[in-house]
Amino acid sequence: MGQVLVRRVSGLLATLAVASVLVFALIEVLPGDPAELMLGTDARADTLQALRHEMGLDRPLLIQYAGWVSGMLRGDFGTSHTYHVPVLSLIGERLPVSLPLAIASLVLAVALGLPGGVLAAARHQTWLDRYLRLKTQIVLALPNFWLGMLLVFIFAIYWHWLPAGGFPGWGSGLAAMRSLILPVVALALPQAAILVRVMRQALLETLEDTSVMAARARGLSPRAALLHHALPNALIPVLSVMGLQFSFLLAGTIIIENVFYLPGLGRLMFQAVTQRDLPVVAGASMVLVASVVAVSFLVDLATHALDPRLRRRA
Amino acid sequence: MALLTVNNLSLMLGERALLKGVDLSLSRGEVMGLVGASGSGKSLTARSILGLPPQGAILSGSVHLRGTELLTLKERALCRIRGQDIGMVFQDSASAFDPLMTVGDHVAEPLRWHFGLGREAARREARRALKRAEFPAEIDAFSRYPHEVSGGQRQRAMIAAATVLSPKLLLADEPTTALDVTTQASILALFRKLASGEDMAVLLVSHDLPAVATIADHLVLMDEGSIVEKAETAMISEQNTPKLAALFASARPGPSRPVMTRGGIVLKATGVSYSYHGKRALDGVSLTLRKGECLGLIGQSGSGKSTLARLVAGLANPLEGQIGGTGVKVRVQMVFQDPVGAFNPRWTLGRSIAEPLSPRSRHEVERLVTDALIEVGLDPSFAARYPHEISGGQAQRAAIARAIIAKPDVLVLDEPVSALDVAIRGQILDLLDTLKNRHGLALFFITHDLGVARSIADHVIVMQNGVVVEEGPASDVLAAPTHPYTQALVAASPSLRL
Repeated sequence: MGQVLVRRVSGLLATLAVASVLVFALIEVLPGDPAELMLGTDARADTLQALRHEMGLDRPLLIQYAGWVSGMLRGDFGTSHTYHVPVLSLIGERLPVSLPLAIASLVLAVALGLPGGVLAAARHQTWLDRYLRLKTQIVLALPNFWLGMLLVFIFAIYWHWLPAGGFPGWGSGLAAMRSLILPVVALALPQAAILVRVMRQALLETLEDTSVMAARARGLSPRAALLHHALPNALIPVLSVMGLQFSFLLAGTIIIENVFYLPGLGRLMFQAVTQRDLPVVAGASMVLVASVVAVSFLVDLATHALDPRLRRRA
Repeated sequence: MALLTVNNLSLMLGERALLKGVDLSLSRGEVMGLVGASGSGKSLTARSILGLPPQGAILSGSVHLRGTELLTLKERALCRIRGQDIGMVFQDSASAFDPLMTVGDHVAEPLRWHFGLGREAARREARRALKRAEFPAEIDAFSRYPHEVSGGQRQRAMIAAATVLSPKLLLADEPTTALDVTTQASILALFRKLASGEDMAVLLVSHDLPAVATIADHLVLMDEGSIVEKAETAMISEQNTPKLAALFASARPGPSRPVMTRGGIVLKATGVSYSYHGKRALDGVSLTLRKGECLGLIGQSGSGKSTLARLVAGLANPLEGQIGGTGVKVRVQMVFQDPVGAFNPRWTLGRSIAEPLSPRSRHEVERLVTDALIEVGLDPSFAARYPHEISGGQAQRAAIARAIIAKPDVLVLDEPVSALDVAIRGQILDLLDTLKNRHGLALFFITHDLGVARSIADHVIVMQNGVVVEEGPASDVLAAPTHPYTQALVAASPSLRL
């Protein structure tokens, strides 16, 4: 286990290093000079030059990159060109919206998806299985921003049950939670539909295993054989899918936060891109990459803990 | 009075009748061997007795277990009977265990499920069952997962799990097929012991008649869903059971081959060694393949025989020693154990068979494929079929066609008949023998089955733990082995003793 841990952690660090190079390079090739953007096109050349110097844009690329990375390691992600405040504090303000949004969506997706998939597999080829398959097919076909707008139309505009958008801040307690309900549902439903299908398929496959038949031969009821033997084995591949889904959910916040006017990381990133606020784009990207890498690391550890065939090989 | 009485048991799956009026009767203390080719319905009979037929199957007739009719029983009542009154052992112990649970907990599970025993109490009882099934005492079954014990140990653990509640009836579906000959013999002996010592009735399903005959009191032969013959094992020669007798005869090795004048050397290996992950798999192995001669390589799983096959086929290079032809380039082709798995399922057989050919016109490719198919005894129309549409024996013929189409000098055959039924086995061996003589092929034939080795090999080498322990003409080595390991193998081979 220790060896596996060392290997995974070094893999994690290597991924982050590669990601930082990619993020930096992408921003470098992005068209548009931030200094020019800030001063406007009719700025004087020497003012522009002075600002470029102040922002460090005239230094060699390698020095810029080294400065950016060493800054991040010290907790300094640079200063936003638009807001003139440290990038980290901007991200810090937005994370309490985006992170609960992604986590709540994952929890809801799992809460709906796993039992749905188990039910569909247990009632394979009955009306329930067919109903669930049709339902998930429809949900999967909907883009989630459209699903978001549909939800707003029904629950906010038509029935006035929930706010259509905006976020009053966590200080307002219940109101804050109410404003997150629709975005969470819009994000979670497609992922739940995916989970239903993946869980159903994985379980149907393990139910075919001789080991399940052998368990039945020892006298276990169909339900006990499914819960004690088929389900744990089927959950291992599903766990990997859940890890990937969390990444999708984080990325999905960019769209959903714009649909619902939520002051989260996704919307910050969207605005920063349109305003060429490069330190913010770079910092927010790195935070997203880091959380995706961290989640897949956790999934890896969980898989190792669950599957003895992986556990002892190390 | 009989413990188990099966009357007119039939099974329909869709339109097809897979069991047609099966009658059986079995008493405690008896072992019955239910034999037949694959698809004859013997496994289905066992599963139907247990009330676990394939989904959608419709059963009729009657299955009485000591006065209780099982076929009409509700699922809940059947669950109580399974494990308690009837135990079942499956063929492939590697897939019959839940990989996430220790082997010991599999044995403890029926105790917890049926009697609600606590974890520790169940484990205490399970240890007793493991001991009775001769699971090695020095291995802690409760800390080992299925992939961490050997095939023989897994099979013993599965027998322990099936017998932990001392059922009256034990069903075993091909319980020794996946095992080495020596392990096979000891597992069969264990079944006999359970029948006699624990007063169980044992129904042993197998395609291996000679093996089953060593312990069974009765033999029942099935074909196409019906029972065609029944016999007392002890009186098999005196009873009028021509089909059983024929099956015995086809399993019996043919007369030992005369040693012919030897052909020229085609391929030679000297002092070959190989390691996997620092573990020595082969150690200083030498061999000679001659034109028109079959060299049999005998050994149990783990002896290094498949590694040697890969080296001879050029799929890997030896770490030490040399393998090579004599002067000219030697062409080697290989045939694998699992014939269906050796084909790309999305390709027609014709496309797969033509794959080793160098680029040439379509017309010529078609002609060569047709020739190769005819040569191995298949109709040319097989070129248009897909692997899943043909039987195992036909697939192995097609695999041989693919191997010979490029006109090789050496054919490496890794257990080419062990996945096949006994009757088909003989046909494939005959085919290989014909090809060898017609084309002067050198065959390198790997097998764990001494009966097969004796019927095809001219010379044999016997391997143990990566070292050659004995070699010589097949007739000499198998009739009068000198090395203790070969002697043990010969003693444990039911098909040689007939």
